[in-house]
Amino acid sequence: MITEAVMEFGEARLRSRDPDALGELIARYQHRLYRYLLRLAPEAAEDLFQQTWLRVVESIRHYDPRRDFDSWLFAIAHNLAIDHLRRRAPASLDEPGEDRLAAHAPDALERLLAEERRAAVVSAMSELPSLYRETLSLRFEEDMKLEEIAEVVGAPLATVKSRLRRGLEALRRKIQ
Amino acid sequence: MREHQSIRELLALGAAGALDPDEERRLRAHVAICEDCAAELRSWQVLAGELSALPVPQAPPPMVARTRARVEAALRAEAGRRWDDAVLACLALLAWTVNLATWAVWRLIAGGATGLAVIGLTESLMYLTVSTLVAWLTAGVAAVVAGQRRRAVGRSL
Repeated sequence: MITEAVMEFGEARLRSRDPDALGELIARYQHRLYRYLLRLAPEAAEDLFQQTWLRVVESIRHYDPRRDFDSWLFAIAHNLAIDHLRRRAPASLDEPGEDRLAAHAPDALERLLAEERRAAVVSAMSELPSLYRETLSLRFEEDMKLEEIAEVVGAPLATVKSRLRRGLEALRRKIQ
Repeated sequence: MREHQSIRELLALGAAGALDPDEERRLRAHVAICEDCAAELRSWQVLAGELSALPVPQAPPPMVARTRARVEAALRAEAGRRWDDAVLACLALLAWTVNLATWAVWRLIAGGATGLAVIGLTESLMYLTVSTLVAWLTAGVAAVVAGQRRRAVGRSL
């Protein structure tokens, strides 16, 4: 099964790294990828966005079209973001326990939120440990199944399920 | 009571649509008879709905434009590297051809028409040694030049 995005832009065009095809691909995924990176590493979202696409250019020849393109793309972004977070604060990537990240509500996002409740949800989410933020974003914003999330983050299904439950519980505690 | 406690732990995942079929079936059966759990599930469903409905932050157009420019630069740089590789391969082929041709011409000059047929071992070994040293030296210089150029391209990306 070839992913819809790959079918649409043409496998051959992408493999040959046709600039127009890659440009269309960037346009198609720009907001979703940016949102994901904003959730995971808001302070470096722009840099990681660029690095992700450069990595796509390097790797697209090796992309297996039977693999889901969304998972492949987000896995690249995940790996780059995790490297960034490790460099910044190695402890923040431990399985969350007492982990606390500085609360960074992305300015651009805050401005878009008209309702107070939405702002509260976003703000509370931004205070969660990065692994919870990522899991919640992939499940609810990207609408990925647990199996797809596991593929993106390279973790067992049970771990993803646990992060999702703990993330939701932590989010609700913060909102309340 | 134990089932009630067990179901409580599934409510958040149930609202997230992350239960396996057996857990989902147990959850449905329980909330049908337990108003507390049904209310708790609705509360989780509200939160799940809010998360799903968060607006998508728009990627800033200048950032996207910069990304496209960097991607295009990377593609151009790689095309340049492929061209360099092709040129180097042609030059290597040319160098070996010239090398062998020179050897043949040298034999003809030194030995006349029968020079090619009479191959002196010492003479040939000396020629081979000198030409190999020259070839390695040239290849080394070319590798250094190519490496510096690649590093310069890498820094520009």
